[in-house]
Amino acid sequence: MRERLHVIGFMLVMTIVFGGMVATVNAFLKERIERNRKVASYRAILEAFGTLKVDDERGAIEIVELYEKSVRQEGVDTDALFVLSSEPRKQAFYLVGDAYWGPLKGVMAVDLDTKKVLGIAFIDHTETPGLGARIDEPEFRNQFPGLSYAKKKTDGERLTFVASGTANSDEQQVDMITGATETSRALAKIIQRNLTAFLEKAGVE
Amino acid sequence: MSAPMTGRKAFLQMLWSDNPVFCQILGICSALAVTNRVVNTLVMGLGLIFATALGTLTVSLLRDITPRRVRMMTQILIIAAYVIIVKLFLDAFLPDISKQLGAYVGLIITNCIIMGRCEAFAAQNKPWPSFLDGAGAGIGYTLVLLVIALVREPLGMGTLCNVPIMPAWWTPWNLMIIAPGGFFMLATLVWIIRSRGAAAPGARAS
Repeated sequence: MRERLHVIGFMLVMTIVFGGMVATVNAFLKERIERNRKVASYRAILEAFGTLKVDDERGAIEIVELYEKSVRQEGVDTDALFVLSSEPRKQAFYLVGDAYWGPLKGVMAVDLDTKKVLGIAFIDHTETPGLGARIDEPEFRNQFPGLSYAKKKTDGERLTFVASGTANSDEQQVDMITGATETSRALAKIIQRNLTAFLEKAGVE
Repeated sequence: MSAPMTGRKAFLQMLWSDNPVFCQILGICSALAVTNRVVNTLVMGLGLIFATALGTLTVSLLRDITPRRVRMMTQILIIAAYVIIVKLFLDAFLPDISKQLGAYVGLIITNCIIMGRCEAFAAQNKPWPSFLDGAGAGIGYTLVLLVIALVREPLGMGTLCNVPIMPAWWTPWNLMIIAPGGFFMLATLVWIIRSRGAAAPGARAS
């Protein structure tokens, strides 16, 4: 009995000590981590609009400044709409959904007048590093600026994902990532769903 | 039981004759997953060195008061605390790399190397040698992973530390980016090292 109490007491103390250690570090770093998340969000929106280039080296404060100067948010949370203040027909919306391994959150920006995609950027996902996670890479994302979404195909699809190397941008096609078929497919569905919802809200056929 | 291991000897053994990756074949899944980029490998390695060294140090400091029945629970608790702290620091100061490493930083908790060193060495030895043993294991792991990454990133992505280094006509080898490429590289490395006479598991005198 005595031994059992000793064991339980020991584990209790250990848990409090080490849990406390983690909690303390967390408390110190929480604000910074939150700010990083906000900046990542702003950066994604600015990149989707093309205001920020992918390898732009600007720091956190400049990004926040640039965002507050250029973008207007309408609505809240995942239904939020982002409007480029200088050209209000250029708008961005969240891409939210389940990718292959877990939830995905990104941003897509379009030009309502030319019916072309302005760009795409990702905020959060848990796809495999080196495979599905390559959707973050410029090579994949650079397919989107200038891509038309005007035509609605027979199954309601606007942007089609096809085997790597065979995409025809005139046909509104995008190259999948080799070795990341499921992630590519999941992303295609997410884009389709969010783009459709956005266009409906914007009053487009 | 043979003579107690000195810290220096333990450290050096971890680098070569008892290397956790190519001798003990531990920590393989992260070895395959993060080595397609050198920078990620370096960050992952540093995180693991930190967690392992401090983990073994702490386990050793507590070895006389830890009840035998909860030995492993305690080790996991300690390791998890340090790894979470690593993750918090990465999220705070290197958010882009943290995102790229994804789940693998958290998975350091389950990395066999750390538990292995805690259980096989730190639980029976003094703090300073245990610290050196843990640090050595982490460094041995990192060095092996760096060698693999130094091949996988240039061949698979055409870059080194995200700087393009391959000539324009080079077509990247996709195989090197995905896990099987990591498998092949690791197996090749183990083969080369073993044929040079490096120790097989069990060669280390306990």
